Amino acid sequence: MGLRMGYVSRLTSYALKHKPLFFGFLISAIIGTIFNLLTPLVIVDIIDVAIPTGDYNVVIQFALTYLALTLLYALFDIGGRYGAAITAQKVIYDLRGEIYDSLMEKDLSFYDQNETGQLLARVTTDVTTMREFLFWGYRVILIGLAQLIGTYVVMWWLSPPLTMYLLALIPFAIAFIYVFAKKVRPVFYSAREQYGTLSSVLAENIVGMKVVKSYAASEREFERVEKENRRFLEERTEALRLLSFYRPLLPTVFGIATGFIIYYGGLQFIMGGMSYGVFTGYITLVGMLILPARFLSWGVGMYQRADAAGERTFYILDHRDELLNPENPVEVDKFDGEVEFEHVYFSYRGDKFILKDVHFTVQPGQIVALLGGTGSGKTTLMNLIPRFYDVDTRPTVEIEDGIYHIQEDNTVEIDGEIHKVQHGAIVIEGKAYEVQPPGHVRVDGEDVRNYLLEDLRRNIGMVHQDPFLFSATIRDNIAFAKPQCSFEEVESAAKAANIHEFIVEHLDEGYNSTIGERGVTLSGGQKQRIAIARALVADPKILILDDSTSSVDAKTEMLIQQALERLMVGRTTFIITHRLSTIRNADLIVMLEKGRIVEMGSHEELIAQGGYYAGIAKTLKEMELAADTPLITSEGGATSE
Amino acid sequence: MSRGINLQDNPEERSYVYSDSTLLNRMVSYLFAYKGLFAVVCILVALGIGITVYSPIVLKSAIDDEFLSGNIDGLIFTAGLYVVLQIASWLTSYGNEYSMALMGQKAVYQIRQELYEQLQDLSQDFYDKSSSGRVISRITNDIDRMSELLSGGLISSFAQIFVVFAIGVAIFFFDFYMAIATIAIVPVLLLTTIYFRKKMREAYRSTRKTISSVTANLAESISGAKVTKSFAREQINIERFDEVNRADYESNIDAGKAQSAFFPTVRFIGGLGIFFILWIGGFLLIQGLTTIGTIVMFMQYSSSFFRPILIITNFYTSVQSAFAGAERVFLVLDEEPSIEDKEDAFEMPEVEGHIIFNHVTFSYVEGKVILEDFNLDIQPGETIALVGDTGAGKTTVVSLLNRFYDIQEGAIRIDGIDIRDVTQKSLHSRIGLVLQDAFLFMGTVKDNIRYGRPEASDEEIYEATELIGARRILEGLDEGFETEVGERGGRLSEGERQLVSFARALLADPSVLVLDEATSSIDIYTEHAIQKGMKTLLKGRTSIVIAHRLSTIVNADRIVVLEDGKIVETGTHRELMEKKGKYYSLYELQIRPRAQHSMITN
Repeated sequence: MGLRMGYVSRLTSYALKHKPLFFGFLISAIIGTIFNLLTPLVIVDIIDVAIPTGDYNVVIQFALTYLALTLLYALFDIGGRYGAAITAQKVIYDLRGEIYDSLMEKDLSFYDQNETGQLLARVTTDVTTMREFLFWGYRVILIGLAQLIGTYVVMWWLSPPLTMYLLALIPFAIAFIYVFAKKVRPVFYSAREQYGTLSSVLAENIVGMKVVKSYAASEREFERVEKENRRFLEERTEALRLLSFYRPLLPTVFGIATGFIIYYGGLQFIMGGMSYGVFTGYITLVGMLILPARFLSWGVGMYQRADAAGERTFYILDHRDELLNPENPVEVDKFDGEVEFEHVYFSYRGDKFILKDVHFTVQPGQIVALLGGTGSGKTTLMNLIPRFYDVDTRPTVEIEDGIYHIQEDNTVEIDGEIHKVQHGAIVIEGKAYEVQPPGHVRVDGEDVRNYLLEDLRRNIGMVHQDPFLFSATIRDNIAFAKPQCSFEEVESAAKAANIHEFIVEHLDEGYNSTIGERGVTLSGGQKQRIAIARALVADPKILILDDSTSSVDAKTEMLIQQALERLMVGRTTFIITHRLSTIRNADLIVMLEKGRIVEMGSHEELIAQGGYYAGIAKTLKEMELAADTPLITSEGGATSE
Repeated sequence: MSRGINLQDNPEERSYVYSDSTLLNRMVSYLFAYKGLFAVVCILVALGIGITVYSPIVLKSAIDDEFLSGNIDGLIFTAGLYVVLQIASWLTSYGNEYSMALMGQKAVYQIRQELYEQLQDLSQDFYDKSSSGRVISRITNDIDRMSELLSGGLISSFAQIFVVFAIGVAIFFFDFYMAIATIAIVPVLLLTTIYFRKKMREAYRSTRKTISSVTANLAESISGAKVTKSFAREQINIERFDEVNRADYESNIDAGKAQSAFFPTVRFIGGLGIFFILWIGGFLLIQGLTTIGTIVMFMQYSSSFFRPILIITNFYTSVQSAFAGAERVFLVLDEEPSIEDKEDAFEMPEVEGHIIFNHVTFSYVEGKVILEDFNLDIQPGETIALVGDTGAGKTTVVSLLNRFYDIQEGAIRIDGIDIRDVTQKSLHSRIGLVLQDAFLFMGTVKDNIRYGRPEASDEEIYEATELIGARRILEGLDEGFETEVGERGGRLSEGERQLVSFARALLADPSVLVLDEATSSIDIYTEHAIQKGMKTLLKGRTSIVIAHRLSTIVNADRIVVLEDGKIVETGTHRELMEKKGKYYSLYELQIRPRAQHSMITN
């Protein structure tokens, strides 16, 4: 519980940065409540004091007092609300800014561990929930408490014995708050979750309707939809049933209290112990007790939601990057481009190994082609060079199929047993397993962790098959890395990337055309070439190209290919590609499966090895031959004529 | 760029295909399906109104009669009556709110079920003209918009009007002047509420704009994080975000004004009503024209106007939204499937796979003929590669075979049976369909392979995968065959998705296969498995392939070259190359250059 209190009080610390506003609106809310609490007393006095005088002026005076109190209540209430609105908005502004800064500083593993959609929800929906709490939460809880205590004080002032009896209402109010928090709301949340499930089943079936039909699975899917729909009906109905049961219960309890006041007050009245005015005041005051019960219940609900939302949002601020700049960075302007992977292991949080003992060196200017499927680790491997991730820093040991990290105390736990490292090895059942020291990724012989992140990344260019462009002008996008560069530079990069012609001839505003929703829409091939131009301007020594899939026509493909070739000149290039020609030309082919290098070498070497790559090349070669044979015969036929 | 944002329809937009009364009638008819419940609700609502009106009268009689007479038994009776009324009020509320919710939720369930069934029945042309995002929005958001009104909003709004009228009439029996004072605030209350609601709606519109730029900026920043980082551009982005964040702050502060003033103002108007009652009541009391009980009763009535007024004014907004949703839902429900089974349609039996297109003429829209007098005879077990430019009619041919559209002239027969004589369902179950974008369902790789034959054993799955040469690749996935593919298979690469869809088709083992080959090139690690897999998949069954891969084309038994909906050439690769006709030029201009990039060293 101690920790869970944390998030709302943390939110409060943001509100406290605007102390005058924060306390101002709270005080305003309290003052308003006090005026509200005084109104029943005026009614008491009208009946008991003013009317018996028989003087119309006195009655008017008292009635006007009532009106004045109501007006003051309204004004202070408005003040409280408006103050709360401003405070809430200021806090949200601050918080969003802080979250944004923090998002910009995060390293990439953060983005890989958190899905885009979820991150977005944390910074939008969750922040909105917190704003609700800032606007309503404090006031509602404070007013609820103030009105609860205040009403009892006023009641006590009018009649202590009756008030004693009415204290019995407090447990009811608490029970009401409890039941809503523990019984009613959870059912609503679970119904909402069920709605999410139903929606995703529906969405999936609609998008995949053709597949559903062609596998004659309509009935099966209909049943699945029916089942989810029915569950939603049941849960939602149950939630609403609980709500209609408990919600009207509160006014009823207070209505019963009114019935009691009629009885008790009537007895007292008959015996001369109570006046009309006091009786009327009581009827009004009991009505005023409903509000604290509602407000506090509501406040508790909001508190719970804000707490949960806070946990999700502050997670972003609290997440500590593992990647830090070195204390004494190695200064560098331009790299030569030598890249070395030395026994690289990589795992997410130490348990699932994505890369296992990857070991090879690339000379400046060489081309490396990477092969492998999803989960082979080729993308992760590429992300190690610009330090979007860092290699594992603990030594590892491989035993049978498993890989284990050596702990700091030089021990390792395998199948529940603790083993100690001795002479650089682990001995199990008489067999020694060598311990591998932590790996390195080096550029120009220096571990990448010794460079400033900025220097390192500035020297590494990445071009994706589905590149991300910003909603800015084409010029801004190409000059992304060097915003100050001249227009000539942008233009010549665009020319080299084979996109200049398109920009000038097909876009009304040429280089000043805006990309995105409100601007021009670009095809995949055009985006890719702009990304190539962007990389040319950045002029990195090391290139990482992801060119695995692209649905483009033959001509575009040729343009991209040409642009890529120009880009690759004089740079160390890592490429994930579908082009066999590129692979054959590569200096090194590295094939990865489940994080491990399974085959490595030049095209000729791998063919000679006769492994999996040789099989791939053979299949593709057969197709090529099958297609080419008739060409030869037809040409042969032509020459013989 | 902020893809995926603003995909929703404007909730207030209406096309007015149906009149308001039609929409209302139709929505109510869903509620009327539960006549028993409806009757219960009506009775309970009436009872509830009675109690609301009667309670203050009991209070009055206690004050005016029992207090003065000193009749203790009478006092106990009146107090008891008051308590009984409160409990009755609780039970009626519970009963009527629950019944309304039950009725409404059942109606929502029913509408959703009907809509889904309709979506299953609708033909391909419906999906052609509406994006799937919009269709999904019909069955989720739009139905939700109707939900509030159906499960209580409609009935209780009407009930509240009766409450106002009932009180309005009742109070005139007690005191004319105080009744006037009490009623006088109702129009003021109504106008003020309407004014503020309008203000708040306007404010909401402007905040919706600013918040959507904030969201769009955040979405872009998060999805573009990698690029921003790799070019070290964080600072500029921070400045850009600050602009939109500040704009949102300002528009919300504006909106805060109306929002803050609304409820306190409304409550103050209520206070004004009580002020009048106290004032007039005080005067009347001094003159001996009224009683204390009456004043107390009027004060109670005066405060019971709030809820009805708030609900009634909100009714307008929720009706607008519900009508907009209902209209779009009903439009889909009223759509006629363009293709329906014949009344005497029979089940398509097992087929050998002899397909004949006999003098087929077809157009999507009248006057624009796509296929004209199209003839094609495909022998059982034959593989046909359809090639041609975009728009030549390749997709149309396979769509027609599946009867996604009906032809205007001629006939399509499988094993001599006209496809219009059998049920669509049985036709689809005989034809395997492998789409360009391999669509996978949430679940594991294994679940997806098993989709067409849920009873298949694990061994059969492994065997099928082995046969198409995908086993090594699929086993190489994180969790092998147990890997969760994610929404629409998003966690797999395109090539892997295709391999799964091949295995799925192979396991289903249809005698006729239609395959729309993906145009995109795939990394060669997966590519070679796909080429091998394709061969296995096509073997021994009648197949029509919309082919892009050189390997597929070369391996086909017969290549059919389409141009403007006509067959211009047929033959094997070799034959057609020698002809030096349309195929030859297609090959030189498109097929070979594409293939060359992936295969031939330059």
